[in-house]
Amino acid sequence: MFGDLPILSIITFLPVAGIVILLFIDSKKNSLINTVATATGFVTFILSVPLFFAYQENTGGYQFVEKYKWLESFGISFHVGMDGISLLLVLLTTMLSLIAIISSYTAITSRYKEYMITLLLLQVGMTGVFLAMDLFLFYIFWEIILIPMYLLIGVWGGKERVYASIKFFLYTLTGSTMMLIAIIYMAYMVKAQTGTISFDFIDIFKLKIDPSIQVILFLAFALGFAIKVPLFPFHTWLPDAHTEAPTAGSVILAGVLLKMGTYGFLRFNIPLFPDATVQLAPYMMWLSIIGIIYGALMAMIQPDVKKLVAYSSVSHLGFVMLGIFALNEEGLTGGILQMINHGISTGMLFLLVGMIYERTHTRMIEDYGGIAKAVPVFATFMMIASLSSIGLPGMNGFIGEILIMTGAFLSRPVYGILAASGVILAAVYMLWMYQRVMFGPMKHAKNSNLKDLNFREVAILIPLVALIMWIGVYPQALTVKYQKSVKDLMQLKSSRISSTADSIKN
Amino acid sequence: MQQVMIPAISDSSAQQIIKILGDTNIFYTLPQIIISIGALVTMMIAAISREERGQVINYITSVFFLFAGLVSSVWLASLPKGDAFSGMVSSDLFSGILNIIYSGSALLIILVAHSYFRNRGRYIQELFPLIQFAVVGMMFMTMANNLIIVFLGLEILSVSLYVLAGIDNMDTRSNEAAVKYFLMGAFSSAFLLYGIALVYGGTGSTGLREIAAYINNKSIWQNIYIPAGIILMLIGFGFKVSMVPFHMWTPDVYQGAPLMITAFMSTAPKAAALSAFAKILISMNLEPGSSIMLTNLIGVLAVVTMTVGNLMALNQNDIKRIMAFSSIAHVGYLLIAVCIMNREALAALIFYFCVYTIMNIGFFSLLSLLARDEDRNLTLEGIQGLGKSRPLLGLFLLIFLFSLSGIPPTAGFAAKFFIFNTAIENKFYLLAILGILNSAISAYYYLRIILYAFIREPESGSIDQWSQIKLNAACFVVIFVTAAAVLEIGIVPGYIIDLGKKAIQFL
Repeated sequence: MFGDLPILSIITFLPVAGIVILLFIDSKKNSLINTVATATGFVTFILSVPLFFAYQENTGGYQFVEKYKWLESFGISFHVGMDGISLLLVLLTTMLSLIAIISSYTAITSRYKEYMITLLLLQVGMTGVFLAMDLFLFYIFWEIILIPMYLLIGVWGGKERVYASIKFFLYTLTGSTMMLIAIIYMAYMVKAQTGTISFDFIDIFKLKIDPSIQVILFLAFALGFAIKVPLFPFHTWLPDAHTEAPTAGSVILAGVLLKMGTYGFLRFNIPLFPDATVQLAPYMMWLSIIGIIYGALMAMIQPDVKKLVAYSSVSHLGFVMLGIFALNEEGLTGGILQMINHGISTGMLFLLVGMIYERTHTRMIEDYGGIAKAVPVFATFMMIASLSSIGLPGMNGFIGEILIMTGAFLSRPVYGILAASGVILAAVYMLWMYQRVMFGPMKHAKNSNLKDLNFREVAILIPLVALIMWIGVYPQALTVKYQKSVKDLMQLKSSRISSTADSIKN
Repeated sequence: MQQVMIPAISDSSAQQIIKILGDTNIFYTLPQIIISIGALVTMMIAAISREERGQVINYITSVFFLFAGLVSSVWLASLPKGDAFSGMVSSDLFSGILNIIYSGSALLIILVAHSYFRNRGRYIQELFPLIQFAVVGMMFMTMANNLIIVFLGLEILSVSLYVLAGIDNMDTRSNEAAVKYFLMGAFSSAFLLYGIALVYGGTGSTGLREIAAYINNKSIWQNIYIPAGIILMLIGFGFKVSMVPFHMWTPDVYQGAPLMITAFMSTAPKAAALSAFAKILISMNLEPGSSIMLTNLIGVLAVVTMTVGNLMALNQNDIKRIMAFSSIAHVGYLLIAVCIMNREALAALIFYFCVYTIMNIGFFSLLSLLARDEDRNLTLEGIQGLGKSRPLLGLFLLIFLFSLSGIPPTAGFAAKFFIFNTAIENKFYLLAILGILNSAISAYYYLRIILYAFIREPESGSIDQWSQIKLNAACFVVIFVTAAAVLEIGIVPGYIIDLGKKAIQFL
């Protein structure tokens, strides 16, 4: 379909073109800046959509692969490719980035040009993380994201932005440092085993790693990924960062950035360190379950809507991790689907919170109450997003959660039972919040004059609602795309377990 | 006497002179010769011309000579390895690259320093010869094949730097810095000289090749003078590069010296001292087993240096002091490479010098634009509001600071990656882990500068200070070129790394 076109590079680096154009635009011309940024996001999104149809799900594996020489003396190349899992995540990235750009038209009042540049730079990093097939390249993209996200929270964030931005930056930077050591270590392991140093996935997949070293490497990678996910107890940066970030920042953070952590576990930890994975999976699952219940309980008592949604992310990402480390097909399929679902429904929740915040400049639940009468359209969308987040049957969240729970149950029944309690808690905190905000008598008179959503706001919500319904009714459309990749992953994992066992026997 | 004088006139002795000159291979020291001439010429101009005009003439002259020195360094780097002065100095790709760093950094410093002093109404013509002499000293240190030449080069450099630190003679802090620096520096020279004397006592020579032949892969413990001498030399060089625990002078001197002099002191001289020390260690041919103690010692010093540098920088309020501690921390990373003590590590060292020099000079040049009267606003509060009112300068600030903290895709990351990469390759895992954790700590104080420049709102009425800044052409070019280089090296570092790897093969 794309012939020899380097489509993945184009999708990754097209926002850079937008950045360059923006640099030369007068910073006072807001509408021109809007046009350029939106056009960049839109074109990138439009270019990424055909990938969904061009990706051959029956063939599986990495497609649209590109490989260019980069740092030859270190065995580093610019190597990108896309499998079924990264396909969906890239699409999620391009879509949410476009929505984030459009949602910021009125929300951002200062340093507008710089803001758009930051958003576009963020998009480059995120897309790159999901496409990189060279560990060094992966690490570069992984770290690049820190810069725009730090600025996004720090410059355009709320009251406590200074604290939140530094906390975010140092937490994630420290987490990833050990990963760099592990990456370099493995590159030299390739050199020891084959004679040439290489940072390439394909070569590193062939490594035979001693199980005891696997555990150390697993932990080095896991630290960085667990902080990003965030897995309990590494979650403390998330509520601060989410609450203080501007709306678009929260959308991107919840929608895409957290998925980078779970993607990392899927892409690296499971296939590269299969023995360590099997050995450590129970711990990871327990941490996930603690995260599910802890996040839900914390969400329940939050007085701040945005913080509530942030803690609900901790809970939901716990589900994703639970599914992944159930290490069976049901769990993995559900986990990956839930990554997408969480991006859509939590992204939508953050958008809605941002929209109402723009009108009232408060996020406290007690400042609302009974506003459904004043803003019926808003209330409807909020209902859809909340129900989707809870996992109501017929909406996207349901399929993912049921698959994860099946996977967890198959792994060990107690996991499934405990995880199910998280679903109930989710219904409690979401519906309770909804009730206190929307229903009952109008508590504050000034809220009766609230303006309902305008056309632009409805327009960015409609596609998300459509996706929620579509995935809810017909999840196969997505799962079929990555089914082969999951099977490959399982097979790779089990084959490498046996091969390391063999090599140790010998 | 007559017997010497008379044949000098005759034909046969003319050939003899040519033969001696041929042995001398004087052209291998061409960069030093050119820059020395430049230094002498500028000194003459300073003596005979009036302040303001003399400064301009000196500026142009020294830029010309430094550029010529740079070009000749490039030319020498392209030549095969060769000895000059009967093997007292030798020229190869390694010294060629470092000579380029020295003359290039001096060139950049002069471009910025001229306008920096002029904007303050200060006309200091001595600046130009002194910087050029310092460059000559550094070049000799790197090219030296003999400990005496190393010491000579170091003294030419140090004496120039003592005066440079106090060059603003109307400023008491600058004077204080000079005196402190001189006292500490004299001390360290004595240590170095004593170390050289001990090595000479132990091996019977000060020539690196003779020492190598004497040690000849045997244990250094055969003769207690050798390890004692090496450790004393380490202390001597440690003072010069502000290695902990010999770093105490650094913050005060860096804060007191004029801004661009600090920029100079924190880059090229450190490269010279560390590369000379690394070259001495490597060319001594130490037997790997017996140098374990030395490796451990330098490794511990590396960790202590970067940790102390980073921790002390966390709570500073003055940007020059932050940069002083940051430069201590960077010496710690460099010492990791020295500690590994092989050729691969030397390539990492060269690459780090290149990158560190570029980003540090770029950052200081930016600061020289931002500093108004007597550098008073070079505090964290002082740079509030920069990002908002001058986005372009803010962008440069971001690039340099992210590079200094080692975040990709900047050159700072590539340099750190190369060092840690080499450490892991040689199984120095603990050093790599501690180094990379330190790198994460260092992000905090660089971020604090960004924080104040971009995020903290300035007090009302103070925004105007930035709109008064006029972009000086030379200074802006330096900032732009260094920032572009930081990004360019960060994205495609391959060719410089390969050059560095090639350079160490000739050593």
